[in-house]
Amino acid sequence: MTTKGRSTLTLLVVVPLLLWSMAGMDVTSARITAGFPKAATMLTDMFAHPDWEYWPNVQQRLIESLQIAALGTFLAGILAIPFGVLAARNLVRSPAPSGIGKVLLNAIRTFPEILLAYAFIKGLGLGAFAGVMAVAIHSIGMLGKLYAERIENVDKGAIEALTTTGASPVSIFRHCILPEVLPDFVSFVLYRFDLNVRSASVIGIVGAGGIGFILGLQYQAANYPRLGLIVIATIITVVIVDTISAKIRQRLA
Amino acid sequence: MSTAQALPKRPIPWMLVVGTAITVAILVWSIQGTKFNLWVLADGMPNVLRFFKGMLPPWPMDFVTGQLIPPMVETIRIALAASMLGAALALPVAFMASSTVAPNKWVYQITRNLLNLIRTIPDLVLAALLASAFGIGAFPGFLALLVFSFGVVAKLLADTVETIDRGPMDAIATTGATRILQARHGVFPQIAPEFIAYTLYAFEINVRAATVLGLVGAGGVGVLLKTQIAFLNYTNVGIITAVTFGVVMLIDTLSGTIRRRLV
Repeated sequence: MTTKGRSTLTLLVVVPLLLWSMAGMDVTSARITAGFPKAATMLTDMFAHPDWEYWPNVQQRLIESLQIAALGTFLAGILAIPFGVLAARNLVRSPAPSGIGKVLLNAIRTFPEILLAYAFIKGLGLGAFAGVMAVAIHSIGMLGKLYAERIENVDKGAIEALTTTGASPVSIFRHCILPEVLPDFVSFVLYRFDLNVRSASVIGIVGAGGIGFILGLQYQAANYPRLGLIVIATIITVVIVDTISAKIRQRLA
Repeated sequence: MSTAQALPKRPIPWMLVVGTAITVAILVWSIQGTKFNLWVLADGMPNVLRFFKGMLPPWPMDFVTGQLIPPMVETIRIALAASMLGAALALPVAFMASSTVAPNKWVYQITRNLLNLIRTIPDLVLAALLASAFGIGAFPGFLALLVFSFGVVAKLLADTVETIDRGPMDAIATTGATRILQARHGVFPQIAPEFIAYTLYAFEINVRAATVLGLVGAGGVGVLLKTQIAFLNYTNVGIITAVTFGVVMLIDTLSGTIRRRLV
């Protein structure tokens, strides 16, 4: 197809899709003309006059978010190992366990973290503990998948050699696979920690502890100077954690 | 050669010791801070499981046809509009954020840092703030995901632009064409497949995000989810989750197939 033909085809797909998706969005000029000045006032309140008196609360809740992320990620890092082993194609001989493992991990990954938070709040009450569990269970999905893919890249020869000596899967994993994959596993866990610092600062909105908890509170109270401080502090924390984690992961690679 | 690469990497012992010590310290600190307790967990588990059990079928199908389909369609619309317009806005910015095409170092540095900053704002927070400025509904959700799609597509595309073959661009430059024309005819044809692929990728993420935006009043199926949780109607929470899962899987498969064809 010519470039021109392709562009025409693209436009024929894109324009109707765009029109359809924008229809019913209820975008009125009144809404926009009223919204922008309001947004401007909010932003000024948030970032020009952040409420520094509120800092001790922000600090305490940020620390709580980091703790939720750290413990949740660690638990997931451990719990994901059996899932990863199960889902890896090269460890267990029959294809069934790997298929089951992959479907299971996919289901865990797609289950909304916010719903997990609600469920654990039901059982454990409001607070950081529920947040830890939501983060831990949700992260198993991605970590298990990454673990499985890494195990599948382990040198086949070594595994086969050990299998012929009659070594059990557990001892093959312990002596042949674990030493090779460990640095990468640590790297995956650190990467997941970055993502979890973000989640742990949001799930508090539904009551699962951390900075999100006061974020939701101040949002409902429409206290923008406090919200400003919360948002700035969260962004700075995320950037710092990302930078440190990237440095460590570079070392591990 | 391959065997040499496959040899286990041995971490330096002192690094292992220091790493373990730091990890243990962080864990103890986090366990204290979050009041993590296995006995409390064991006690609370039946209630947690009751929540999940409540979500299981049988599901009343009239809820799906009567209440679930309209907000689900709205979710898809929000995600679609946001990814298309966000990607369109990202295209010129991606050129400015790539060292190969940016007019000078300053433009490059400023746009890069701005893009990094945009991607650190959690979409739920952005949606909440936009909902209080523009009123609740699909529109603030669309705006929040617009910002997110813009950030992701611009970043990925900028990285791609940096890897292109400079030949066509330089050839056009010798004719005295402006930078915009160089980008349009020398660079864009090389990155067009990636551009579409990244837009689809943003769309996939947006569909997932759009399903929860309603929790903060930003439209879509999340609004319904929030009310059903508030009414303690876990069966309906289950239907919403299952249908959302199906839609997300369907869109992922479709979009993934197109993406693999492109790149």
